[in-house]
Amino acid sequence: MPYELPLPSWARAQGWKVKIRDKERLEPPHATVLRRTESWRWNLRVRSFMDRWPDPREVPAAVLESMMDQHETLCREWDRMYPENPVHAEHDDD
Amino acid sequence: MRSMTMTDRLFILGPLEAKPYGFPDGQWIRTPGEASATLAEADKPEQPWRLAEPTTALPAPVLTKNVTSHLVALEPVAPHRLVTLQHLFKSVIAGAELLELPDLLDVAASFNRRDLFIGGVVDIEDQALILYRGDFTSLLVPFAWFEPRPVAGSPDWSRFQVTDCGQTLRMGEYEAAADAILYDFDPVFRREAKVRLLQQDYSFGGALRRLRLQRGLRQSDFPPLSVKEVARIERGEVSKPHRKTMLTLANRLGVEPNAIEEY
Repeated sequence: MPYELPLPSWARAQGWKVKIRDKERLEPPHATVLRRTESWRWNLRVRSFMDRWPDPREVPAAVLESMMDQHETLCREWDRMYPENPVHAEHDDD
Repeated sequence: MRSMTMTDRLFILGPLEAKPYGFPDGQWIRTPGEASATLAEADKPEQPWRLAEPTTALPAPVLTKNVTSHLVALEPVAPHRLVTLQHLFKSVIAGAELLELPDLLDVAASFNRRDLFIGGVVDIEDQALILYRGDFTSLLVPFAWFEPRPVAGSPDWSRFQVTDCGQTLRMGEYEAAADAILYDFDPVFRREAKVRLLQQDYSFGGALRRLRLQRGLRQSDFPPLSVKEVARIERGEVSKPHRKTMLTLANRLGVEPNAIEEY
């Protein structure tokens, strides 16, 4: 079951979503901001957007704020879904 | 208002009820005569898609296989007719679980349509999922790729749907990201994704680590290489791994040795 971050109602009405799905690209741990045909990956380890395109400035401040406020929740959910690659893992597993 | 920018022509075979979506830039075909006229005319950028009832005859002489026209059928098409349509159109998508029509048209008009899915067919017998991308090409993904996950369990193939405007596949409680599928099954997408990375590690070691994790392997899964050897390579402490080492890594990862750095 995917995790979906609760967002302000106006943001949801505009189609904004923040999700961690059950089958994501594993590295690095991230949440995905989705709106219609576009998406932005948010790196949970360094708390920044991973891709230059689409322009991360298109993501409303309130959505970004929700992700920052709920950072621990996002990390916990990622770890629950991907225990093999936790957010705070050491770089090596030896 | 939607702005369609695709250059290929899209025909949608669907029920009359689909019309209330009311796309101002589309054209509604009701009779064989209208179909004939529409297919014969030069493509109009402002009318890049057409909608026809399932029973509307699409006159064969007008279309050739070379025309860059695609057909998406919202309803089942009789097998005999499907063969005809496959001769007439560059691609025919029929019998698929599709996005809602407004979303489908948005994806088809999107400049990143190749990275989005508009629908798919679940093939239980062959244990495979055929996915259709926004540019109407297809991709085959084995069920085995969707391994059971700790929270969602296994995909429920009887509840397959495409959602989030083509960015997510949902199989009951299980959701898979479109980009995760494309990353594993489309080398072009993988190369482009790598170029787009902002803060990723571009080194061979970084690529090895990403691919290893994507395959669900541990550093101890590469005998006779030791965990320390693999860790040193991933940390970039080995500038150029020995050929034998590369072969061991590649064999275990299921790729060609020179493909590792693409990840």
